[in-house]
Amino acid sequence: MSAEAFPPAVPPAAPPHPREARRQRHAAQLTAHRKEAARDRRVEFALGTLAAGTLALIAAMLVTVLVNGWPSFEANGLGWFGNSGDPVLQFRAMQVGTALPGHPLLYFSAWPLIWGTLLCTIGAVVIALVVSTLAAIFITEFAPLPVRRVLEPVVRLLAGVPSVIYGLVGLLLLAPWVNSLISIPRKESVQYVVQLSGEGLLTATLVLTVMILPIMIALISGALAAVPATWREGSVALGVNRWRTIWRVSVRAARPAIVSATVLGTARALGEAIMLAMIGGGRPWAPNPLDGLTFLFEPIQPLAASIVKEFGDNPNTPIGHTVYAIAALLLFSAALLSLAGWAVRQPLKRYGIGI
Amino acid sequence: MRRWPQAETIEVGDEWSAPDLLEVYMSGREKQSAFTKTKHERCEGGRAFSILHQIFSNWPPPVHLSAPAGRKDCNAPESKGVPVRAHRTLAVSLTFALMLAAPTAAVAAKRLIIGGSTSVLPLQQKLAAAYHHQFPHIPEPKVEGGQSDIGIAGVASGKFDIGDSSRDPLSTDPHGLVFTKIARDGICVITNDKNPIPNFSQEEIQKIFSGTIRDWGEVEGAKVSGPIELFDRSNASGTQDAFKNIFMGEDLAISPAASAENSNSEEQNAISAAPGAIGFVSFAYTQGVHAANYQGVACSLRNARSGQYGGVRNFWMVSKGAPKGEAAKYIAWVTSGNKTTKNIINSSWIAVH
Repeated sequence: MSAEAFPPAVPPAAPPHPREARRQRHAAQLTAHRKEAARDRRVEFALGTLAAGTLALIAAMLVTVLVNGWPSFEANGLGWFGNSGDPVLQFRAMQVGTALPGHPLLYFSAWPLIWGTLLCTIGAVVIALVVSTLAAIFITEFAPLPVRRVLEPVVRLLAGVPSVIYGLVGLLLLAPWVNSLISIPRKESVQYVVQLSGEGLLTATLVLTVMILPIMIALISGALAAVPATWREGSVALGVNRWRTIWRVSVRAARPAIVSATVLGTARALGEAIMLAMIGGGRPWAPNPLDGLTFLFEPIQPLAASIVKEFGDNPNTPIGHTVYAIAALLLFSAALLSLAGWAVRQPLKRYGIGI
Repeated sequence: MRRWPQAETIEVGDEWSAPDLLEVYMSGREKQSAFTKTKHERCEGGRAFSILHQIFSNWPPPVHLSAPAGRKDCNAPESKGVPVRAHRTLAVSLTFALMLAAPTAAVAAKRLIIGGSTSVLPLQQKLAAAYHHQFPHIPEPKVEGGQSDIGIAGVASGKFDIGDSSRDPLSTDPHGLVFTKIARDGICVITNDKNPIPNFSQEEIQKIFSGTIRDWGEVEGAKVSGPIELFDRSNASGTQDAFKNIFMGEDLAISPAASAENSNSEEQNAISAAPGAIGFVSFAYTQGVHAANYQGVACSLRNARSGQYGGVRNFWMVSKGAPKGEAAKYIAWVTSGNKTTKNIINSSWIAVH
């Protein structure tokens, strides 16, 4: 359509009174302003809908898991968290459909799973915290620039490696080596109770540590690099030596970030399923610290790995209820972890670099 | 009032009227967006609004104006629809996306997704490759693992088009599934290469796997000493089901102390790594480990075919109801007994068609 056809051309009219012109100018500005405001409201509504939709999805997920897992909690009561039986036999009974004598079909005692999860998660996070803090200090403070330019992208790359790769490497390389560390007399000493092999608590914890290290190093080194130079320079000007400055000023300022990194690492370790199903040892067992060194080689099957191994996708079967109950416990612990992280960070934020 | 731009900032001559001012103001404001105008060009004169705007907006059609002499006219051809960098990026990325999507969209036949038993997995992969080789226009079916229970549940839920199962149908399986037998397979009891036990009787296997015998010293023919390391499979496995039915019998259960592996290959790997290990795998996974005789009969294909070897079980392809469409074609081809499938199945398994 041609520019002249529609609307029809009208020649400019005679110039109006300046006051009139000013009034009309302001009217034009007002209309334009209103149009912009309407557009802003529409955008706000669209974005708000997206955010509310995400929240609704999470709420729906929570409700589904709780509703489907409730029968398992109801049938077992607080004994669900106890150690009254062997989960292997309990899972088998649910799978086959024949209840164990003297117990309902939904009978389940998850303590070996919970204890295994606690052990490998806390162990991995503690080791990873120490190693990642020191590594981050090295990357930001001590590494020469070429080394730093190589290390930072490499760490970020490692953070993206799928966890199955770590599991495979652990299975093929680490497990046989750990197995060679276990002497035959040690295996014989517990042979009537549990089977010791290269796949156990130690292997699982080590591989889990390596898996959560990159993300923690990336976060902590980012926070250390964000500490204002003036603070460090002020400390050095007061005569504090280099290491003390790093420790007392930089790391202290980065404490909220270290807490955040720990929370993130713990969340990742809690949710790690497939890798731990491969190298955990294949048996839900609560390792006993009083066993001494044998404790490190005992098998574990953490909560998330149990969900993978015990296939319970049909929520109307006993095993489905149990698996959903395990999932509910995992969701609850993730929420608790988030809350704990927030609570620990609050007092630290006053003088720290938050993220 | 104070926030709004002052009149002095609008550079227009005195001869303009209110509608003209409005148009100029609007054209001046809207040229900020990178998607409508190029960045550093100011044009003047009323914009000819699009046909959609003219139809749907409540405004009276705006006055058409031309720019004063010497100024760039908004309605002149060269200032309309000047390609913007954002437009170009959008066009290029859309073209790439369409190019990537085109090959998948162009494939007329649907790609089958087959999943389930890790025992059936090697056979199914070979069959799928041969099917695509024989019918190049049909895309090669995608074969996954996950163990038998997952295959059966996957077919029932629609995740898989066809499921693989290495165990017979159970009463606890979902209703409405059709099992089609495609081959038979043997289960071998395997030990580490350092411990090549020549023969197991059924009683010995039952005692070892139920945990009654726990030391290699009590097993005749053992070349290693120390505790027996049992390797089982997880509860979703069809091989474990078949092992329990054939070797253990109805009354005995495998010891709960056994390590449960998630697939045939993990079991094979675990047993090849530990000298004192014993477990069970499907025929196709006996490289790198020692397959022991069972009741005096070697665990070999010939013995399984002749019926002498006792540890033989069925392979099934599972579909939801009678197979339909592409799945029906594939299953019909596999069970037709043609030369290709017979050769593949007879390489490591027992043909039934």
